[in-house]
Amino acid sequence: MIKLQDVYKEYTIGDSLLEILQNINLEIKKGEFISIIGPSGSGKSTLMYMMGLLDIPTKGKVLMNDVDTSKLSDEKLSRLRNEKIGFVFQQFNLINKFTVLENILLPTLYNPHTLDYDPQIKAITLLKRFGLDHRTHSYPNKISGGEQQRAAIARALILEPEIIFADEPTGNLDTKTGETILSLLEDLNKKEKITIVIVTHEAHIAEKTKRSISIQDGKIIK
Amino acid sequence: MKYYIFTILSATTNFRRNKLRTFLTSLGILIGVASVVLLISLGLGLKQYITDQFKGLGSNLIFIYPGKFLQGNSFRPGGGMLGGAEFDKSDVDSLKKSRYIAYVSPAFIKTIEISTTNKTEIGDLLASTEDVFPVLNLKMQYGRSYKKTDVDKRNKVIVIGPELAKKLFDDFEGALGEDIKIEDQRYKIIGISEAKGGGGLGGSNFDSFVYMPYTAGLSFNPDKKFFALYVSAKSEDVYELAKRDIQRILERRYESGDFSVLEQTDLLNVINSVFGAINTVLVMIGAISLIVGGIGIMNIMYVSVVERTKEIGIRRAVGATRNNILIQFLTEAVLLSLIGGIGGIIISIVFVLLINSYFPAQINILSIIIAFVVSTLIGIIFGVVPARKAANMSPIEAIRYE
Ligand SMILES: Nc1ncnc2c1ncn2[C@@H]1O[C@H](COP(=O)(O)OP(=O)(O)O)[C@@H](O)[C@H]1O
Ligand SMILES: [Mg+2]
Repeated sequence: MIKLQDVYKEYTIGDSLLEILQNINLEIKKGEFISIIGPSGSGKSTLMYMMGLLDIPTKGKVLMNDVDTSKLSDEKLSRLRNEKIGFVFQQFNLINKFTVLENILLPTLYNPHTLDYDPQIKAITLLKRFGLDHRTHSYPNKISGGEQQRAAIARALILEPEIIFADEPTGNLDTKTGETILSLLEDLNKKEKITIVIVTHEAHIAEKTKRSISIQDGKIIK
Repeated sequence: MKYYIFTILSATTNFRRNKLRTFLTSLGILIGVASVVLLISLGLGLKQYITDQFKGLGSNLIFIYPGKFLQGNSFRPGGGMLGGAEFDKSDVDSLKKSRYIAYVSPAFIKTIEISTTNKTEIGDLLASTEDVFPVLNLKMQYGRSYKKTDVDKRNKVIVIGPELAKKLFDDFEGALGEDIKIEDQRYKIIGISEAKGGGGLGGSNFDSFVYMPYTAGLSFNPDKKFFALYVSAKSEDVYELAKRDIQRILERRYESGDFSVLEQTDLLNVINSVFGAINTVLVMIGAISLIVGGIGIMNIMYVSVVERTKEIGIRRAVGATRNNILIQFLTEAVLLSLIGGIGGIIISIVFVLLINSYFPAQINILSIIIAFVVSTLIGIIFGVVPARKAANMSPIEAIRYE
């Protein structure tokens, strides 16, 4: 599904060269449930954005379904993010001036195709499934963290993606709420065969996934 | 389609959340558009009013003024005011000898006080000969106009315009035969002219004039000099010949630079070039306020882009292209400018309707359309730089922004 070949990410700040990621080679297969673990500042988020086509490497290649994405225009990359990729963030990243329903439907705004389902009905179904029906017309800053994260997952699912990247999805939640979010993601992997990548610095979360990649100082160590 | 509707709705959501800011930002455009539309309405109304006044005059008219009015085809500012010929009755007589000329009406015009036993009004005196009535195409509503014998015998008789009659007398017909006092002299009203229409620009329309034989008003004009001569050619066919005759006759007495022989179209050209100059100034004032308004929009759009960095990151993550972001912020800038533009149009329409009964203002559809287009353009021109800043933001930096 996603393959990284000799990927580097560097920033120059003043005279010094910061090597955030070095010589990354990895492959994520379709249907995998995988975690990327490493201490804070090790480059996990940077790696995830690279795989999620939000960022481009300084050197090396990111292939999605065997297509070299470095050659693609902003238009094409955006289309891939829109149709094939879903993001879940630690900060939930919902837009507070829009209702929960409007947030969930946001990706459909940028989708030029006519879908073979009604996204409005799909959104309502997801809200029911995640126990958010009573929050449909609420604003994100008026609901709990767990509810916001479930809304964010619903947004990631609205265009039926192939892969979901979750960056510290439980980082802002208490343990119990975190557990439900994790099992929700696990469920999506099992029942809907969606590839799930979880980024975390907590070992007990990484243990729940079938495969785990360890990263330290921008390098894969295991 | 859905995309554009949502983009517009999304922009209005932002306006609703920042009502005061939206209002203040669009205020610059509002003032600019309102002042331009309003001033153009006033200018056009005034021009229409003056043009209408000319249209009410008799046909085949030729105007003779002292001084040089025109240079080529354009107006020479102040030309008429600087000395030149001083016309008198002998000019009238020699012009009347031309076989192409039907009437010659000399004009002495002065603002005067007119009193009845219990009222005093300000009016404009037009002292002339009996030819003034055919030349100005002036018909009587009541009574009669003054005749050649009235002029020859210096009869103290006058014809007054209906508007002045209305002001001086409650009973219109009762005014006939009444005595009236103009600067210590008594005159008898022998006729009231028909209304010629037009707005109410003070006293300078024909409906509030006092028409008097020039011989009867010598106390106001002891030198018997005239400010202008209005000539009527015998027919359209001899119009040019009449003009040439006038030129020839007057050149026997005056330098050719000391008088101007003008057609109605020449006068309309003079009016047009005066209003052209006024309009240029108005458009410049408007342009400056629109530019200031546009800078206000650009400023607020920059603030808005920075405030919404995170939102831009989120939209990019879920699939918005650079273009989508550009369009989003451009739409917002254009709407902001249009709010000001529409507000300005509404305010100027309301204002024109309010003053319409006192001043001949005219709402011009073209100026409204132009205001609309200009506001849109201002939005695009001043919105595009901040919108590009938003579109070119790196998605990850935007999403990491706190
Ligand atoms: N735009 C940037 N310029 C310079 N350094 C950056 C930039 N973005 C991230 N970094 C640095 O890269 C390192 C890895 O960041 P990140 O991927 O967020 O780590 P993690 O998610 O593992 O905590 C950090 O040291 C961070 O300061
Ligand atoms: Mg991180």
